[in-house]
Amino acid sequence: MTLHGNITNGYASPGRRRLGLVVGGSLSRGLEVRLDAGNGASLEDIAVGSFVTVQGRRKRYFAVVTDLELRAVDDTVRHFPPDTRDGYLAEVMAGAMAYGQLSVMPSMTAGLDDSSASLTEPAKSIPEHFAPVFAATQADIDAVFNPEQRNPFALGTPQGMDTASIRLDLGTLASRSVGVFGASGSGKTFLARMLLAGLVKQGQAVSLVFDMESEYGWQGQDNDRRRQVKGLKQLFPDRVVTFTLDEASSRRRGVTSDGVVRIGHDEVEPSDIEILRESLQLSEVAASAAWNLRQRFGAGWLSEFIGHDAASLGDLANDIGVNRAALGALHNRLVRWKRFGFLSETGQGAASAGGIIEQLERGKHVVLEFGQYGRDTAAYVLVSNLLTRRIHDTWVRRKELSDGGRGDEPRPLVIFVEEAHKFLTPDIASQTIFGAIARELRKYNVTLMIVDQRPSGINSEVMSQLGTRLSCALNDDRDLNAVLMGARDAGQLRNVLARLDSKQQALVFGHAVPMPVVVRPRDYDEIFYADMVVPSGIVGAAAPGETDGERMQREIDELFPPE
Amino acid sequence: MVSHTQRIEAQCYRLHAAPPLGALLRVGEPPTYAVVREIRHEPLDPTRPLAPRGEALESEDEIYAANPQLSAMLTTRFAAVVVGYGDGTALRPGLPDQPPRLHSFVFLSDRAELARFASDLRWLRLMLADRTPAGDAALALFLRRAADSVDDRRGFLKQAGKAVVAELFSEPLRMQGLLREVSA
Repeated sequence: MTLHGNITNGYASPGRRRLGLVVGGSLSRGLEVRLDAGNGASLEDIAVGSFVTVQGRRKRYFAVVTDLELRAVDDTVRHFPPDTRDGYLAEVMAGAMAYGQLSVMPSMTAGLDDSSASLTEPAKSIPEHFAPVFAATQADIDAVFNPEQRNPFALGTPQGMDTASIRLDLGTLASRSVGVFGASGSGKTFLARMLLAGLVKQGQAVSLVFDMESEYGWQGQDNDRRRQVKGLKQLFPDRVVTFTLDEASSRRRGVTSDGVVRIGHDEVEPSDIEILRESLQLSEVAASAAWNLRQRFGAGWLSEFIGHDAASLGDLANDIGVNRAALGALHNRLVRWKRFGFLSETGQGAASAGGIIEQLERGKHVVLEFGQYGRDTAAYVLVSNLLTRRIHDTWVRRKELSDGGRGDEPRPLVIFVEEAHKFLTPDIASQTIFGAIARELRKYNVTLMIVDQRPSGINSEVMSQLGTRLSCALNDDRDLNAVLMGARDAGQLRNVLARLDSKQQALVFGHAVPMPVVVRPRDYDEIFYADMVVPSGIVGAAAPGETDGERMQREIDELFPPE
Repeated sequence: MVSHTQRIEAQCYRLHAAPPLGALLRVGEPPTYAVVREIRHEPLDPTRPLAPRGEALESEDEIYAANPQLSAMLTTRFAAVVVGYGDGTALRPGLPDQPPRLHSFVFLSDRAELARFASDLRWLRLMLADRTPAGDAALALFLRRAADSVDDRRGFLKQAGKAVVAELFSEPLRMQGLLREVSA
């Protein structure tokens, strides 16, 4: 009888593909698994990121392959390699003298009995020596990722398992801030759009999407297949409203927006200028001059300032006590804002923000399309930060009232921003509202979904506060390190992350998944569209803890307030 | 002739009638199993060295025909490495607790016995302990004979090859040389 030969439960059934044996390792470093070449297992068939199970004596462990290695029993084989032209030599030496070794990171455990499969828990132990390791099956995936979720969202298939499905609980995902990362063209936009569509369909939270390149509202572009794909508004016409900063662009694209956002000069704060310092290529002195202007002119400081001609700046500089050249540089940059059609003398920002807030409070998801202004980082950062500040203020107020028993709790809100490193660099993360939201977690029912191709540009404190991270392929070492910052088992996961396919593959880890997993996101196609169809009769989204019946009654009451 | 727990030396009844190198032998009762690693044809009396003969003859056979006393003065001896023993009905790899008695009869194992013995490769270590090219050559021949005696020749050679690799991992040149002889 062998160490593991007496286990009779279904788990050890002969249909499982045995890969090898545990021969060493530790909980912190992961396990070393000697590949069982005699069983036909080959390193060439196993990819980093694959999901495996280890059968211990009393538990089974769910693990991810984090590294692959060629090993030799003795180092002399390097100096005297076998003559591989002799097939017999090569055959008998492979797997004996030289063998493959997997590094696997155990993350979850469950009992050996199949019936307890759903009772998975984080691994706090490791299996004993010579525990057999198997390729994962659909049942293993289900045990870890697809327990009894109320609203499972099919994200995609795990590495090397085209018929299995990884499902996410989007409520859990949205309960903390989320990061979606990836190099340009890696598929992060599709992944993000898919998550947003899931959130809209399931209604655990409302979302506000700052749509920099107008890819999320009405339709997006699939550059690889040269086709248009449906945006959120097409998929959920009753649940999504679109606002625009650029009506002309919307018209050109044949899209009708539900509202236009206008922002008054008097709504721009000096702190907005400081956040934009890098985008505007201003010195610290020049950016801080905005505070002097604010002090001198009050709320209308921007209008007053850009109304000055360049010749009068010297007097103004003397008047407010700032360097002439710095003030000139600031003036030079801000005067260019006159071409921003969404900026106007008189403030409508409150109305714009109010309109968005009203929609969000009604359970609608809001996409704000930037049109031509999406190509201007300053415009994107300015508007996103300004509107988010107002909306966040409202949520904080509502939450505090709710905590005091004087109102309903505000709906969970996910604010979606692209090019997040523009808002969250180490220099300015503490000043932007996005930095504050990331740091305060879900205290006020507001979380972020940030999408970025340069996560190394994002403040490390903010990165460490992200609950769930989904990363497609990244090219830069600094970005790889940044994505894994603060993650458990970051050392092992780095290998996995560094070897993702350049397209359509993502490493998912953190709060919303029980263990890290490499996923091939499902196709964003007609089948996905069909899955996103909302059953008739359900129009809005549920508030937290609200049943369908309660939601329907609430919506009737909203339309026809009771006497 | 000589009996030792690790090796035996035997003398053939007839000149030039030794079992082949690498053959499995059954020696005495209870049986001890050994693999032929060396064969010698030599004078029966080591103090009487051979004188060259047959300079004018056409063939070697004519030498023996012309000198019939040679068959009585010369002999064939062989040495074999002990690799196992019989324990009731079982064949066990390893060393017996006693060497075979002197004057034990030595038999060439038949195909079935060879197949039974070869199925458990734990005897391999005893043959590898020889550490000489001659010992490795005898082992290679034995493995090829054993492979011919089993149903799954290829499977046996693969299994035996891996066992050789496991034993000789720190001697890659010897290991490769041995394996090349096995596959030759």
